[in-house]
Formats: sequence, structure tokens, C-alpha cells
Amino acid sequence: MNHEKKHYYKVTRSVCVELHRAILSGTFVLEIVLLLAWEFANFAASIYDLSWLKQASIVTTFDAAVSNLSALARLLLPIVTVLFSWSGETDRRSRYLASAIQRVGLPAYCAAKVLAVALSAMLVVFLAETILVFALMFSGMPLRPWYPMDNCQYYLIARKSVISFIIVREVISSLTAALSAVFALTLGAFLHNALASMIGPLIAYYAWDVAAFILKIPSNGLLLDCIFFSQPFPDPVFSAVWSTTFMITLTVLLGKLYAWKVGKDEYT
Amino acid sequence: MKVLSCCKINLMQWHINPKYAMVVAYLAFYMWTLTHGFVQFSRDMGYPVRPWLFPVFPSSVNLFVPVYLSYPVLISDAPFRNSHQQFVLLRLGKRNWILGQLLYLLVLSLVFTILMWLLTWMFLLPRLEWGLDWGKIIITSAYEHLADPYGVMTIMCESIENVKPLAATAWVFFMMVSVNFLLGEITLLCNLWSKKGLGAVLTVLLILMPFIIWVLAASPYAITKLSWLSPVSWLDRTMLLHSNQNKPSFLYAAIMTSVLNLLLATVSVGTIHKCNLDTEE
Repeated sequence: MNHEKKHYYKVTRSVCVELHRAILSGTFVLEIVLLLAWEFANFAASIYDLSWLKQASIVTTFDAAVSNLSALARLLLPIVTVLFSWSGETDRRSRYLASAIQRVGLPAYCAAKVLAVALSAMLVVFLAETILVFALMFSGMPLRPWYPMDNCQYYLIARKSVISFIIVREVISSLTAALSAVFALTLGAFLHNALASMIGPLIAYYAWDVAAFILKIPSNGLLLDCIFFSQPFPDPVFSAVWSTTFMITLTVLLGKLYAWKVGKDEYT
Repeated sequence: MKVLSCCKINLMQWHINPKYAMVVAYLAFYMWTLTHGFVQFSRDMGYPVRPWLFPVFPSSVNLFVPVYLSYPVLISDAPFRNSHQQFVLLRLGKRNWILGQLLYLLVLSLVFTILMWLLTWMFLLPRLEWGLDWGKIIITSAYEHLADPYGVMTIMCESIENVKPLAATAWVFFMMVSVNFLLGEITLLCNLWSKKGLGAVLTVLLILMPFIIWVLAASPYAITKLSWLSPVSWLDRTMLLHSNQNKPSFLYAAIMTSVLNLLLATVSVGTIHKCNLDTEE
């Protein structure tokens, strides 16, 4: 019991240290700025004329800003890795990795690193999207559009509560960011190249797309486009639960792969 | 010969550095997503596809920019100073070394352009037929947008109007090589003379400019004058020679990129002797 407590203490302390390193940095602010620009680009690409702006609502504008696939929505995947793709490699080269493992042990370091990367990726996306929501609210936009909303993009949730809709979409975007960041971290452990690990998530995304076409995957629940940027099933609540479970599972599996690789490199 | 060997050393890095393979993989998967639908569309229509998607691709700015954003990954560490380069520098001298780097950037520009050209028709092979016209599939896709449900790239009708496919391909090919080289030179000079990373940021901004122009052109705050300052926009033929809209001409685009390329190359070679070249990892 005492040993277990000690282990959790080490993990918690390491997470705090890693989070401190990630959040209190210029890159974190840069990341928020990049994400705000990304949101603006996605939203602006859906403006066709002045009349569109007059019809715009917080729900539809927010949706366009975070999931406009005909603009740059998919670039969320490499953007969130800017903060972390260098961190694993920098830790290794500066011997921080070796000393941290010596101090807290391999499982604690890896758990802390994966948690810190996932949490800070989630936080940065959550902050950027919340800033957007507040900006839209201050612009005096109506909450919902005047026309009836279809059963897509979690709009059924927005019919009941706009706040719930925004929270669901922010959680899904944040988990997408966490998955992408942990993927980049894991890939970095294999390739030892920051730039390659930065575009890794985007490659995996398109590779999955190709595999889904070749294997003729029948369900939207396994298509990354639907999971990351839209609603995979007709029921929005089930879609949200499915998408979050899917992304958390993949993130945990990637975290385990990262720990395995770091352990293999350090002890062989 | 010394310049060639310096260029060859950089080319040998392609085996070692995984970023090159990653970029090729990204381009291949992305282009497959954009083009494979044409095969089914062509089967359903009963006509073959012509290999002329390359010259119309830059007009679909929202699809072209994400592809082109992979180019800064290849050039972001120009002039490619790693631990081996110090010995190369000692043997070749600064002048030959920078000429070798410029030659490598030119080769890289050419290879990237050829790869893009190949990937625009490679996945169409089951239904591909060579011919000097645009072909029914591309024309139908551009004017009727019948291919849209197949998930293929959007073809702007303006991009195939009043031009032969071969001429359009030649233009985009020449401009892509020139612009790639220009972006490489900008990154190289920024990395030599200022903070590392600035070159990559500038290059990314230049690549994003066509998207910004596209977004703002659709909004009430149009600033089409930006197209005069955006070399990447000059790949898109529809952005050129619209005198009534005050857009740059073909001659302007060609001369501007050539002059800038020459100027930046001269600056690189002329100032390299003053540069402190510490080895970088």
C-alpha cells in the first residue's frame, strides 16, 4: 500500500513538473494564437456574402470554426503537435529523460509525460475554443439559427441547450488534440525527428482513410472524419460517448506504446 | 564538381532522415484521397480520365494549401547544417558549400514538383488515357460538378478555360519549381542571418497567403492586391491576368520569381563569407 502511494505521489509530482514545463512556455501562447487563426480561417472560409453573416449564429459559426472540412479543419492535427513534437527529442538529447527516469522511475516518467502532453493539448484547444465562444457572444450573434437544424454535427443537442452543445464539441476537439499530440510523442520516440513526428498524425489520418476505403468499413463510427469533426451516428449522445471512448482508448494504447519504446531504448 | 558533391551529400540524407519518407507518404495518401474517386466516376460515365489534374490543382486553394504546407518541412532546416557539414565546409570552402546548398534546393524543388505531377495521375491509372485535350471527365467535373459526390477534388471551370492542358501544365510546372526554389532561398537566408525557425514561419505564411486571399475574396473585406505579393498564388492561373480586377499578369509572375530567385541566390553567395557557420545538430 505504502509502495503504491509512493508511486502515485511520484506520478502526480512528475505530471505537475511536465505540465509546468508545457504550459508556462512561449510555445503554449503561440499554440493558442495558431489555433485562433485556424478557427478564424475555417469560419471565414464559410462566409459567402454579407447576407450569410446576417444569418450567422453562435452554433453554426462555432461548428464551422472547429470542423469545416472544406477549409483547414484537418490541420488541427499537426497544429497541436507544435507544442510537443520537440519535447520528447529535447528531453532525450539534453539527458533530461535519463535523469528523470533515474529520479522517479520509468513508469512514473512515461505516465507523467503522456498525461501532461494529453492534458496540455486538451487545455490549449479548450482555451482557444472558449475564447472564440466568448468573442462570438460579445459580437451579439444569436445563439441558434432561425431555420430548423438538421440531425447532424450534434445540432440536436444545441436545440435543447447551446452550452451543452459547445461543451460536447469542445470535449471532442480537445480529445482529438490529445490523441494527435500523444501520437506525435510516440512517433517521436521511434523516429527521433521532430518534423517527421509533427506531420505523423496527418499521415495516420489519411492512411486510415485509405484503409477504410480498401477494407470497405461500413460504419461511420470507425471513420476518423466522422469521429473527429462530425457526428458518426444518428443519436448525438451515443455519438459523443462513442467518439470520446474511441479517442481515449487510442490515446491510452499509444501512451503504452510510448512507454514500451522509451523503456526499450533506455534499458538496451 | 565540388558543388555537385556537396549537393550529393544532402541527397544522401534522404535515406537517413525520416522526414522525407514522411512527406512522400503524406503526399501519396492525400492525393489518393483527392483523386481516387475519379476512377469510379470515369467508370460510371464510360469515359477515360486525362492526366491533367496537375495544372488545375492550385486553383482549388483549400485543397492545394494543405498539400503545399508539407514543402516547408523539407526545407525548414536549410542550409542543412548537421554534424557532418563542418567537414564538408572545411574541404569545400564557404562559397562552394553555399552553391552546393543552392543546387540542392533547386534539385529538391524539381523533385517535389515532379512528385506532385506524378501523384495527380498515378492513382487514376486504371482509367487513365493520354490525350492533348482536357477530356470529358475533367470538363464535366469542372462545369457540372457531377464528380463531387465521388469525393474528388473540386475543379474550377476558370482553370480550364481558354487554355490547352499542355500549356497549363508547363506553366504550373515552371512556376512550382521557381516558387519552391524561392521559398527554399528565403528559408536558407533567414536561417543563416537571423533566428532559426524564422525562415520556416515566413515560408508557411507565404504558402497560407493564397488561402487568406481566397477567404477574404469571398468576404466583404476583399484584398485581392495581396496577390501581387504572394508567389504561391501565381501557380494558380485564375489569379493572373484579370486586368479589370487589378491582378498580376503572367509576365509579371514569371519575371518576378526569376528576378527574386537570382537576387536571393546572389545575396546568399555574396554574403556567405561574412556568416559565422557554427555546426548545428
